[in-house]
Amino acid sequence: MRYDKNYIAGIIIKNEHDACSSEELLILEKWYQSLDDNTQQLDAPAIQDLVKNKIWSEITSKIDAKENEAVSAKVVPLHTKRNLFFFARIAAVLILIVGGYTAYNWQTGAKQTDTIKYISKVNTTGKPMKIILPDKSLIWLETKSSISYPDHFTKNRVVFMDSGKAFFNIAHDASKPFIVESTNGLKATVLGTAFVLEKKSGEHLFKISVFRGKVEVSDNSKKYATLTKNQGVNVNFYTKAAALLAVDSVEMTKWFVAKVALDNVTLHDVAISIKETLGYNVKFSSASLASKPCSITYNETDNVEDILLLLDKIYHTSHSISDSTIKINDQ
Amino acid sequence: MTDFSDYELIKLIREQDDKQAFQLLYNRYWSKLFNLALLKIHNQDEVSDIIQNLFVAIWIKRKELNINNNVDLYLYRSLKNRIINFYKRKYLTDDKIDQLSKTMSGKTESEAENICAYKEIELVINREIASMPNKMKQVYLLSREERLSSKNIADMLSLSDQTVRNQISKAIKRIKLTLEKYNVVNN
Repeated sequence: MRYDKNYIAGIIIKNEHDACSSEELLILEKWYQSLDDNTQQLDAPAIQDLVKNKIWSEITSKIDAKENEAVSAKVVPLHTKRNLFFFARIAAVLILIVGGYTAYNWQTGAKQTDTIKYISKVNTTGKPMKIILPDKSLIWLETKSSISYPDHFTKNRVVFMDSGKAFFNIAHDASKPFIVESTNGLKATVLGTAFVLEKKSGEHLFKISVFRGKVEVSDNSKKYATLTKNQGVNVNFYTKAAALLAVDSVEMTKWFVAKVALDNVTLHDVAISIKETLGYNVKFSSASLASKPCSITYNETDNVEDILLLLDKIYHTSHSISDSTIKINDQ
Repeated sequence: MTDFSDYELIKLIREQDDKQAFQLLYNRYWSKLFNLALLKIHNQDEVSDIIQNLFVAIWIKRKELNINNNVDLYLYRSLKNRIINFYKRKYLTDDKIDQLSKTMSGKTESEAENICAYKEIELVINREIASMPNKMKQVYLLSREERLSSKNIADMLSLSDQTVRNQISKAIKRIKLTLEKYNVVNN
């Protein structure tokens, strides 16, 4: 039986005021039973564990936020860096540690003035998921992959990858190296570049392929390789053996859509697109510049600096980037 | 503590603010609740939000938890209410989008703003609440919108628990009568 949404919404509102007739209560119950869809199933046990830990981590963060609101005036400062350092050192099992860290602080009642909240993403959508990090670096996370990252970066930029595959387009920041750390302690360290990190299910191999720039691959015991464009490495995290590979940059981005084509629009429209796709706010030096007609095609995997240089060249502009804001001026 | 019964865990949470007991309760029930909600909502992100909010609410309102032996029943009821509330919000949003698309597709404003059953019900209820005596209105809104227990409302307004219960009961009767009077039968 199909239920009319407005009709059901009406009964729900009545029910909130205990004003339903017995007949309406029966209809509400039948409608509720009709929602069942038995085809919906949770993923494999490993993913279930990630979901469980992710939800718990969110619960403790939300409770902390609510309780901190009430006690903020009485909070005793406890330096976050020390906690983070400790956290980074013992990061062996990503999600468990992230969940455990939150839970530990939560259970012991530790308070922090500069609380770093870790966000865990488990992609169960069946398609690639795009994530914009606080520093405007972009990640495409393949389905059934998982990653955790802080809600803001401090001294370093460290994100944790547990399983699956992700493409990273890292925003350049010479003062803060960007590190992707796997559950097995393997680290990819970069300044501003793009690469793919992949851990195949059931295999003891990590594969790192470089799309642009330079990536250093290491763990606490050794440095495996320094890779540049179209180079990759397979690292067996049991034997610590590494094998260098030649990789195809086209293959690296084939599994997600990152092309943005804007035809016959204004620079203001381009600014909106940049905000949506790359996360930067764009300001213009004048209204007339913003309304200038424009056509441009770019890839989200491109360096934002390259996209802006292209705009400068075509439309005779100059630009500057400060934090998450791009300023475009008439030349 | 893993051997503790649900009731013992709730007691520890309520009386000793025991966070370990709270996590054990979560570990014990998250999967059953998640699967049940997924059966009804079919979207893991939405379900995750609902489970999070359910457990956050349990912790925040732990001092008022009045659960005896049927902890599972309490959790399933809370979940059911949240699932129903999710659909209410969804249906109302869908309706707003429908109305907007009708307006944008060139239909007249009056055509696009056909009064829906739920809107009429909401209107009648809100008018009735507005016309209640101040104390009754205050008590009723605290019970419905803030979801406070009668004991909490009584403490807050310096009334007896029984007075609060009476006021809520009278308010519900008024709303029911008004709905009957306006013949708001949404079918």
